[in-house]
Amino acid sequence: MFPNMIRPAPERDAAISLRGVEKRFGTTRAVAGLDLVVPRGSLCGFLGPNGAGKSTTIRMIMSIIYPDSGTVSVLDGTALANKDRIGYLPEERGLYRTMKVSEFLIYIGRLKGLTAASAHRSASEWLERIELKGISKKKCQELSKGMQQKVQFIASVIHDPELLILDEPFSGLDPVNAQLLTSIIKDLNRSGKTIIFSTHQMHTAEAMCDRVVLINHGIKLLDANLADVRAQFDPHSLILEPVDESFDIREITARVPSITSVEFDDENRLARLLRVDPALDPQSVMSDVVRAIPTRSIAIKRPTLTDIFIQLVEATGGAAPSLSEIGDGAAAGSTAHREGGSR
Amino acid sequence: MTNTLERSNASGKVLAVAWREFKHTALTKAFIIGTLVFPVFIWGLMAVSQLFISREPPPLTGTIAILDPGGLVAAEATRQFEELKNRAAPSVSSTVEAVSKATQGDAAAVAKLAEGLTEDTGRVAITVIHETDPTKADELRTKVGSNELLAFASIDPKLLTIDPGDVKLELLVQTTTSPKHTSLYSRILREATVKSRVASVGEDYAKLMTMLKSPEFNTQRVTRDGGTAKERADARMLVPIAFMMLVWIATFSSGNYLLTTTIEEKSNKVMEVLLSAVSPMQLLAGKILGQALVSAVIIVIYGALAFWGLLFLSMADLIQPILIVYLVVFFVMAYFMIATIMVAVGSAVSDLREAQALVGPAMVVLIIPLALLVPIVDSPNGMLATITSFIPPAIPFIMILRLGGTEPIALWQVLLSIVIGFGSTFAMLWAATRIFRVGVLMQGKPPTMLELLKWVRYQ
Repeated sequence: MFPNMIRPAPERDAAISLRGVEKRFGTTRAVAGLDLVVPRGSLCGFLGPNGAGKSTTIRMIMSIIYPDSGTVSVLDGTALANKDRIGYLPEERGLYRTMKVSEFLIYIGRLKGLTAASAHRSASEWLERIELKGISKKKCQELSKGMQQKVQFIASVIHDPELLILDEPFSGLDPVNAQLLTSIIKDLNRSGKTIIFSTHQMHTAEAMCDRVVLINHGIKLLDANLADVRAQFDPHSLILEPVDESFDIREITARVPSITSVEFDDENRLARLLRVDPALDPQSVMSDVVRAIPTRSIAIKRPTLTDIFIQLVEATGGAAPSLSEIGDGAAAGSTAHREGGSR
Repeated sequence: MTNTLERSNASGKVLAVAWREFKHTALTKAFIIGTLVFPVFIWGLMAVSQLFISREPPPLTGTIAILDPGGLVAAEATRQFEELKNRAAPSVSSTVEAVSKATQGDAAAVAKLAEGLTEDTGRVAITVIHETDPTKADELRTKVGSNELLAFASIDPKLLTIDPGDVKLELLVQTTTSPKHTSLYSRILREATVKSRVASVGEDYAKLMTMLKSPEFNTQRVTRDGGTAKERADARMLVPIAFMMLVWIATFSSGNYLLTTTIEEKSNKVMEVLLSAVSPMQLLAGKILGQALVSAVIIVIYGALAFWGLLFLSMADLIQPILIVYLVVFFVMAYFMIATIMVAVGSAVSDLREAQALVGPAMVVLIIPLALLVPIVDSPNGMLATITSFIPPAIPFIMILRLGGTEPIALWQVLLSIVIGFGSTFAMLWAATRIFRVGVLMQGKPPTMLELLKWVRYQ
């Protein structure tokens, strides 16, 4: 039995509020009765596998497309009315190929309501901050894909928006640039900006967000603070690395009765995942294990969003997404497969 | 970092879109070359080519045989060639000169000189044959076919009588003879025949021609202020055509730019970025406004060039001030009609190939002014011109054709065409905005015409 993790934030201080939002494309239901509240000042991850309905929801939030039913409120109005207070990085990104970088950014700044001088100043500052100084006179088509992506990110923040909506901001970025962008997003959030970003890479969201919303097939499966989610989805498991690698770890179930099963842990092929009786405190079981077998290391396993997502999808009767749908990084770092028998 | 940014008002967004559209269309090498340099280059090329193109036929080399039993036509023809000597190719001049000197203009002497043989008098020789033997004619015909003779003319004596009936002057030329040479032979032989005919009845050809000469007209147009100006009927016919072409080129050029920039924004995936900053209506308004400036630049430049040409030719009085007013009114109407079609189609498709299929039906109507150009200019108050004046989107083009002509157009027709024209322009603009807001975010298969109509009805 899974805890109910639909714990929407209070409506009174919402930057974004969706109520009963439905969207169909022909016979496909992209979003189904979605309720969502993103509190002001939060850094919210909008998660789900490819085709979950994330981009459709974001486009409705941005008033680029409209819901078939339900209401959408952004900054106490509509995105149309508050365009200049919102920064948006769409999933399908584009640039004017023959425009110079600075010219493009100033143009977008002007469209976002800045004066030409302010747009010019902001573009220069952001180019320096995002480590693209010196390319302002280059044409957009002369940039590498990663550089183009960073320019597109600047276009979404050039007007200093109070709400930032980023659709898959890290896709296509190398680890160094992804780290740079992560740092900037966190800084912006710390300075008071509300940020919601979609991703299908759970580990990215896990490292950044204070709040997560998880959807699949247009249905919300999870909506809560990350800390609450972790507390609720405690896997009651220990990660054990024995001193003797040849030790038959399955014997531990005989030696420590509170261990219900043993699995390989994919994060560390030398380690084993020990499932603990949910009725018991994992910390007390740890000392039993250490006494039972020579131990190199032992720790209480933290729940990953990937684990949680897979559990939620399976529990709600839907097919669990493939690892590639969830994201390779997440897959490598969080899945486990069964090896040992259960008691 | 950027907490002291200054903000502009909402209209600034439309103007920003308009300026980008204008700048990236009109202030580009392609536009400057295509719109300014290319026409000037073509004009210069035409002017220069006129200096080098000779209107005279190229030099002739060979023999022309004339079967003329009386010898009069042949002698006259020789004299005609002589008249050409200052303008004709040197080879022809020298030939004519040689023949004239030898015969001193005497037909009999010419005949005697050339009889029975080919008299080479330079690069071109004229052979006069008096024999009426049909085999001789066949022999000469064969020689023309085998390129031994340049041409062979057969003068029937009946041609020199007062009533020649249906008798024709037979002229045989080589298959490779240029039209200019054929024309030269025909002209000289025709005139020589007529002169000989006149001479045969004892009349003086020169006197007769003087008597037959038609008087020249000095037609003047009296202007409103009582002055007069030289009447140039041909030029007046060209004015409405020039005005219509001016509107056509200006509106279709910018319409095409509108189509391609909209498709480019879709294919570059930049459309969603733009729509996060401006509404579809602001984007549409900015684009149409920007390209309107481009269109205005084109019409002003080409119009000024044309007017300068008229001033140069002292024909500026052909353009009445009211015509300029009409030009502005119908140009605005034409631009918005074409722009709405192009922007709607551009928003609905992903590439130019798909666009052609959707623009096609509108082009069928828009081609009417070009297809019916001559009859409408010829009869600006005819039924065809009147009816097509009320069919959008052809209205502005047809009306400018009619109004540019000499016949006055009834005021009610002008006003009705303006009402229908701007009414349909607003309807098209409304439909285009609805198609645009749906189309700009559509990808994949292009819509059919029926689907476009559905988009118009979407709420």
